[in-house]
Amino acid sequence: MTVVKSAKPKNPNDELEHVTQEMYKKNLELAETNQTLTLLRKIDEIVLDAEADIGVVSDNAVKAITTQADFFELALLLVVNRKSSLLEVRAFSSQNSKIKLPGILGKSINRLPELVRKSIRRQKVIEGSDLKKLLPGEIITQIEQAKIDSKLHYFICSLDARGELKGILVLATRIQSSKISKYQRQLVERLTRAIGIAIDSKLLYAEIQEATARLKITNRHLKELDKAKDEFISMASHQLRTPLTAIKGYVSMLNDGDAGKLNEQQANFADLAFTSAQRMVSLISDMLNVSRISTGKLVIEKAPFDFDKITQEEINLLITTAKAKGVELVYHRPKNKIPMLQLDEGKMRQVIMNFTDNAIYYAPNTTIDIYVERNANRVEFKVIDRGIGVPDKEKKELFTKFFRAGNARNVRPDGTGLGLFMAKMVVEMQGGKIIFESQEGEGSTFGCSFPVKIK
Amino acid sequence: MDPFAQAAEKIISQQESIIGPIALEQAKKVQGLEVDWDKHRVGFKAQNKAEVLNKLIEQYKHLFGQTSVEVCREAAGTIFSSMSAQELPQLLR
Repeated sequence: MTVVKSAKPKNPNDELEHVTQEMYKKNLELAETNQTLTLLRKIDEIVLDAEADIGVVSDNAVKAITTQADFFELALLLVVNRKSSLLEVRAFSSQNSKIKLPGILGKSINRLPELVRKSIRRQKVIEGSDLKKLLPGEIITQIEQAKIDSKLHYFICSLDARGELKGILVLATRIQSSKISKYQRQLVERLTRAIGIAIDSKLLYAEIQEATARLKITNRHLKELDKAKDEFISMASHQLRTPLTAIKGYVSMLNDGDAGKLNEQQANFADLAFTSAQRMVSLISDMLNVSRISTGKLVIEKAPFDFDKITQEEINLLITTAKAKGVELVYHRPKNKIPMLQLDEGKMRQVIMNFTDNAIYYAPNTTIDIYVERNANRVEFKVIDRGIGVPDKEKKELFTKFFRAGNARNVRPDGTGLGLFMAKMVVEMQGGKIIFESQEGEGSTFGCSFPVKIK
Repeated sequence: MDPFAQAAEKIISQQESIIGPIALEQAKKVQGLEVDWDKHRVGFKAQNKAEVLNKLIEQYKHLFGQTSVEVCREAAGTIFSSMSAQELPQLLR
């Protein structure tokens, strides 16, 4: 017969005691976790305070560490100065509010101990109690003067972000190294990460603020410059226009024989002088209109506009200039009658003049074809040349104020860079679109189109 | 503030964060200890404060074991750093 020994009955009280103690340990873990989360949340709040600068953030962070976590006897924060690249002591806090380090705040640290320098990149946290191995002399002196407990255990935490050292967090605890729990070491690591992010965020924010301030100043200067340029153009245009009109007038009278009959040579000279004066007036009108556009004072006066008739008139004015450049201007009249449009005649004459005049200068000794035609529900005006064309990389800016393509500047150094800008503004203000195609070295098509209003 | 009263207040606070209101109930059972938790004030009726404080720690140890003693030590912290070992409660030496 086999005798089965029965198991010794468990003492319920022992069991209860064991369970109670296990539950106490679990509760202790929960309490510690809660403390960590509270501290980390506090750090987040400090970072999210947009008004606070790096000094306030540093101060609040170290205070949070020593007040929210009993484990830490003191906390010291050093931050890398962006300009000097040296570590600077930014903030200090101790559980004992009587302990202060008055001489240390703002101090630059020239050199960290060798152990820290070598290890700080590999390990985020270095521990120890030997101050000489862990802290720079300047800080050790202050700690000794403040009579801080010499038996503290220190954590030297590297605050990295974006691959760079941003600062160092020094934490100290009364607890001996052998008695520091895994949880407490994890707390140190989590704090290191949180404070590192906090410091980096604030440094970035400060950089952005500075850059924004510089941009604002630059922007203000640019606006002032732009305004000054526009005012100068306006003033200069007015001043120049008056005597030029007089020149044009008198030369016209000479041409008409009001001062006596001119011989062939004199008539030729007068013609050339008149054409040049005409060109100057046109340039000055461009400048005036551009300054009016900038100040919002450009007025469009719409009236019935005969595209065909006005184009012919403007081309006739350019015949002499074209001849001098070896250019044949060929106007292709519309096959069908072009309906009248509501446009500002004065401004449109300038647009036609600008496009045609440009083509003459940039396509010498060639034929330039000019078209006015109806295309579906639009009236199109086009000037097609076989000249220098526009380089691809400059097409985007061609119609901007003062811009001149590089090859154009070589051919015609005296241009203002305003003609195309003004043409685009005037066309678009009247509901039209610019026509532009070009191939460098082969030629360009410049023009505009307007919708035909269907009755 | 009296260091023993300060230590007692910290110990009870710390225990309360772990086990809740039961910490207070246990503290009120300790003879010689006066607890007015609304004002977070702790006083001693008896002369030997070290002994009363020791009883408080014992109270927790009895229920929750050695871990709770460690918690009490941590809570007391450096309050008694300037005292000799003889002056301290036994469980904090």
